[in-house]
Amino acid sequence: MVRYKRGDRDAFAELVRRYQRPLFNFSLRYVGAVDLAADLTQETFLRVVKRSADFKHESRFSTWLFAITRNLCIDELRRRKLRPVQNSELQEERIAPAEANATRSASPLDAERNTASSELRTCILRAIDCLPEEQKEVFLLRQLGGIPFVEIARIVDAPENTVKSRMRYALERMQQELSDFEEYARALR
Amino acid sequence: MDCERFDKNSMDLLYGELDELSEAATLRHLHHCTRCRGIWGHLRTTRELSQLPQEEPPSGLAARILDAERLAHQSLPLGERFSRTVSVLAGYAMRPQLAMAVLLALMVGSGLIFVRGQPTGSSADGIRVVERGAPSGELPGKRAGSKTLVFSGDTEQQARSSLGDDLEEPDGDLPSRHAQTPISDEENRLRQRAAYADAMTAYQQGRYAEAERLFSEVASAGGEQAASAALHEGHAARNGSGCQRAAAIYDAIASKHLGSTIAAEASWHAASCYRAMGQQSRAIAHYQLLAASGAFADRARQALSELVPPTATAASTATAPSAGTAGKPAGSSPAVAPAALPATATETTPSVTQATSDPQTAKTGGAKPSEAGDPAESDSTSP
Repeated sequence: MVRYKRGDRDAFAELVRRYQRPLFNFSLRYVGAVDLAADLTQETFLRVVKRSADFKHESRFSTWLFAITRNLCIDELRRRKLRPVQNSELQEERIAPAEANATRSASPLDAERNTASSELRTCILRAIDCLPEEQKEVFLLRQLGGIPFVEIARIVDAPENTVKSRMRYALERMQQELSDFEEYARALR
Repeated sequence: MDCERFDKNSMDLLYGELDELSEAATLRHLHHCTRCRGIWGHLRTTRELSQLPQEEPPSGLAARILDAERLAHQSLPLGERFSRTVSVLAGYAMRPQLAMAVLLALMVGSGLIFVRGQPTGSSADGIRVVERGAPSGELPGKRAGSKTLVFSGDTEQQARSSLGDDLEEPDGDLPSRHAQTPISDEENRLRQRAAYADAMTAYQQGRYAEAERLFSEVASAGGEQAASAALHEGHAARNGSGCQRAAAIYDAIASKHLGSTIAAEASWHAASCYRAMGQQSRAIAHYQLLAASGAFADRARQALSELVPPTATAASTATAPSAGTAGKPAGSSPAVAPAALPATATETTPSVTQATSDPQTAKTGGAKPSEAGDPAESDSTSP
């Protein structure tokens, strides 16, 4: 980012290459639509271009990026007043062909594992959809973005302990939803 | 560590954000607490299970973003683009390598300026300063030993020939000396006479310091009254400041106007001063010079008889005429006379000694003893 602020356009391309995937996935899990998530990712980088002077290096650049994306997602959902597309539906649409091919080509044991894995993904996405908004964003930021709790507290503008509590509640909810897969998880270790 | 503490640290422990000491303490608590160990197991399993699959962004998203960035950069307000340009330049300027390069360039550049400003062998680029003639009134305090050259009338050509290379020929594009000094010789002579009269008035009224200064100016300006003015400068110094100062002036006059009546009179007064100050050897040297010939010969012998034993007087007087019998006046010999003078004369007025020892001046004095006694001619060679 320092290089880009000095006028190095190649540095911006490097930023795009490094952060487009986590930002897209965060937007995708937040709003639940691929096209909308891509637009929001693009808009995030445009905000970086327009507001690069506002970045004072007081926090990590990734924190600043995810804060922009999170605000854009909230604004977009409020503007459309639409219920986000369910992640579970999206997941079925996107990975169905791959899963079908895997099922056809694998052995019966592998097919069973793939089926379990597919069910697990569906279950995870459904569990995320069921999370309250404030827990969901903390969960996505920590689990997808890898943002530390102290930085998440800055993004969502809440005390750090509150953020940790929200994460704890989110995990406990996820645990209830994924209780059937605990044996499967132990088997994968 | 207790269970409440574990609940507080569990999220940090789960995502590796706990410091080493707290992590070790939490793990020790887990080792013996069944309740917390069960919670921890569920949390860890849930975290592992809820690893979300990372979807690939749509192909072309990066290109779209870069195109949008290019357009957005072009559509930025002019002020912001200017500030970004300034920021870019400032970023380069703050780099140490660039700063050192600029500093080095400044040092080399300033060094070249100084080197170019030094005088070179070529006279085309430089400005040559040549001392020219000037009215005596514009030269306050100039003594005979100073380097200011003041020429008058027909003595200029002789002075040029005697000074040789010391006097630079003016450039062709410079105006002539007469054009620069429109004051005529006659007017200059009148001014010097008036200055001499003022000095004499001050001397007669007892204002010896002022008289010494005015006589010095007249003597420095040269002219027909220069020698007399120099002698009266010595008188004024003697009456105003004492023999210590006057003796040096008398010595300078005796050396400068060697062989003239003024020189003899100056030598007589110098001897009197040295005698009054108790410097008998210097007084004797002057008396011996005067005893050889001239108007002060009798009085000099009388003084010598008072200062030295008769045998020494006879020996000295016998030596002195021998110089005169050689066909040359003692005072006209540039080799003998300065050597006979006290050392203070040459020490206090080195320029006078230098002028006397100048080969051309010595030649003039030897070839034309009568002209050497002319104050005006002598003044013309004074540096």
